[in-house]
Amino acid sequence: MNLQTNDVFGASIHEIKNLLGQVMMGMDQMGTELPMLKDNGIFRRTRFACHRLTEHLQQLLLLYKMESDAFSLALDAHSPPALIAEIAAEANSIAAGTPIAIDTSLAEGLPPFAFFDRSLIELALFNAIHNGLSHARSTIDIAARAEGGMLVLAVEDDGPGYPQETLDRDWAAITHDRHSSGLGLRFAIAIAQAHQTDAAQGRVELSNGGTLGGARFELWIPA
Amino acid sequence: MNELQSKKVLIVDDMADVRGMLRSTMINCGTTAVDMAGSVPDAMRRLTAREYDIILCDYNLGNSRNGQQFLEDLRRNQRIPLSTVFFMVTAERVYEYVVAAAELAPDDYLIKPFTAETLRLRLLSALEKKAVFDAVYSQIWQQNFDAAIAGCERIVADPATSRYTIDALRLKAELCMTAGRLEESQAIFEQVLAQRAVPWANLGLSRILMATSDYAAAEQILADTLAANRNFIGAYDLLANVQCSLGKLDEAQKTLMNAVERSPRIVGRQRRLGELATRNGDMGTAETAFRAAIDCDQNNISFSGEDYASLIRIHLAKGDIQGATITYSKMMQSTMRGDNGRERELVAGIVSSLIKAAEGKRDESKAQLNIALAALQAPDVSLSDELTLDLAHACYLNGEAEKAAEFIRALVRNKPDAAALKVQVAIVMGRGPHAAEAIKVIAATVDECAKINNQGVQMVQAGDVEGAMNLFIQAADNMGKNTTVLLNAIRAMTLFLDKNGWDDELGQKARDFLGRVYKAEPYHPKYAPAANFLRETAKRFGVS
Repeated sequence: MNLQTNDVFGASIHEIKNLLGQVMMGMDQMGTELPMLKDNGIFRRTRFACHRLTEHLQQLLLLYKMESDAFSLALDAHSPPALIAEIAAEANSIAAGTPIAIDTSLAEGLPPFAFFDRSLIELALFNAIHNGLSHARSTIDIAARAEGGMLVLAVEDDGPGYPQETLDRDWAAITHDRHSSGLGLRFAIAIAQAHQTDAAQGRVELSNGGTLGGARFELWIPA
Repeated sequence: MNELQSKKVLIVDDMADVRGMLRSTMINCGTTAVDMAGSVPDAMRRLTAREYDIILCDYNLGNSRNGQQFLEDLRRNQRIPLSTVFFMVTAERVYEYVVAAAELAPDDYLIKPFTAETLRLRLLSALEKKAVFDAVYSQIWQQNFDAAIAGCERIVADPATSRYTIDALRLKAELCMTAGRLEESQAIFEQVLAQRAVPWANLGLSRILMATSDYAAAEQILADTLAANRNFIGAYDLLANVQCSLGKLDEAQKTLMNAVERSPRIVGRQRRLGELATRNGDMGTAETAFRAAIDCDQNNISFSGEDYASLIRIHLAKGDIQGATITYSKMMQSTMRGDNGRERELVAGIVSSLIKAAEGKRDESKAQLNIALAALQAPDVSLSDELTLDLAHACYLNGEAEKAAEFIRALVRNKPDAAALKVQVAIVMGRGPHAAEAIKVIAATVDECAKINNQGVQMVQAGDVEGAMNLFIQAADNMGKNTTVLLNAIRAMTLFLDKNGWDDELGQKARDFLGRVYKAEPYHPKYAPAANFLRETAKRFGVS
């Protein structure tokens, strides 16, 4: 792709994302004015689709930035409990009307603040939450804990768990894959790895079981 | 939802439908008092009429301004109390890099799209933080910096407020800088940087290094910051300043050109680029920059005559009289909001006198100069330093050397930094005999000011505090913006009060002078000691 095409590409995604933002704000406004809509399955699914679409566009923008060399973290100090509360609230608004409940757990000894890129970390966690909303039976738990000098942000559900082939794959090594949920996972890994200090580098760990018995996604970043 | 119910909210966005949606989002959050503004002037009017608890501002405000500039204007000029929550709303993730390297950050920012729930939670935590910092803010408002710094230290030390540790450290570092406690400020930035390469800490550290004249180290830090991400816009302006101090004018120009390429709509930056390019003899770049400054100032509240004058100066330096005439007529056609005609008349008189002189039409040049001089007599008319020098230049060209010298003397008396003024002379008058004459006047006036200052200081040392005080107060009458004179006057007044007991009128005068110093140079190293001495003295006499 030459530079010009690349710029048009970036600008177009940006524009689409903004328009989609207006669609979502409009839907929120409709939901306020006509509260019965919030219980409507079609309305809810459309909103969920918009949310996922936004996530994909954000991933594409990130990819564009990484390719055009304009990528680096916007690091600042943030409160992990505030981050979890915010993500849970957002997840709740998407899960409203479904039988899925959003729980949060904050472990003791959590640092009062940590340095990270807030919007990228949210993007990475939302990929896991969207998966959870598609597979959970009744509960998604969003959790934070400190372990070995790292901050661990986890999303667990009580669904069937990741397929074995997902767990077996070396995601960090895969560069080309047509599978769409794989795309989100690779972004999460790239985001985690971009968070690094001299002593440690971020990573993603996937497993099954956990406290809820389903899929468990963990984002580890240096605290 | 009750916490937000009573809050007064102002929404600033140039797009009407986005304003409407933000409004309904706020109403969703439980707020009832929501006002809207479609432009910066509109927002200023509302902010003058009413105090708001929360301002939601879009980063992109159309052609002339962005929300970050608006925020910096508001905070620097104390147009809103520190307790007001200011949120930036933006569709552009690039804003994250702008804010990461900004000296003045909003309380928080939201990247579109976001839900009402996210906005509500963010507002609640911003209000919670404001409550924690409430005592510190009121100390800052009273310019009691040492007490404010102590307040920040308490927030850092208290386990109950540990989530605000970094916020408190950042504020403390800024306050230490204002209070002249540079070493403490530097230690904080280094402490944060030891944890992570946070851009604002790098920029803060580079500002300290600049203040202590360690330009090479500052340059390295800023270059490294920009190497990490070229979108840390704030770093370019600082880097250009450092490069100017190091005498690397070509590199400074390149730095500003890079910044302008990424963020073209900042009037001040385009103006600086234009000045720098003029100094470097790169008239093409200078011309483009001043044209851009005019373009982005079109919708602004301030009169942009200065940029037209700069552009005309460049035409004339190139011998392009036709170009100068075209720019002149564009200036006369341009709309200048809030202009009562006098300012336009003044600027028009100055520049057309210069144009006519270049054309060799002596009589017409003289007539235009007289129009300008008459316009200057009107009240409420003021000139920028550059335009004053243009006026002096027109005086020289018309054989009015003494009038020219008088304008230049007035500039020097109000500006302790004579070196910067000499650079401005070179930009405005070039390198000819008039510039040499102007430089002579500057040197003589600097000597004259130094004499007064030395005389007063000697009088204090000899014990004649009252004599020194009267000398400095009188000097301050015609050097009202000269921080050196003002600070000497404040010190003499405080010594007098300390010796002879409190006097309300004198105390108030000293406070007024302090305010003038703060406005002219908030980071003057002698500001905080002078403010502290005055406050301690007042306290001793039971005055708060």
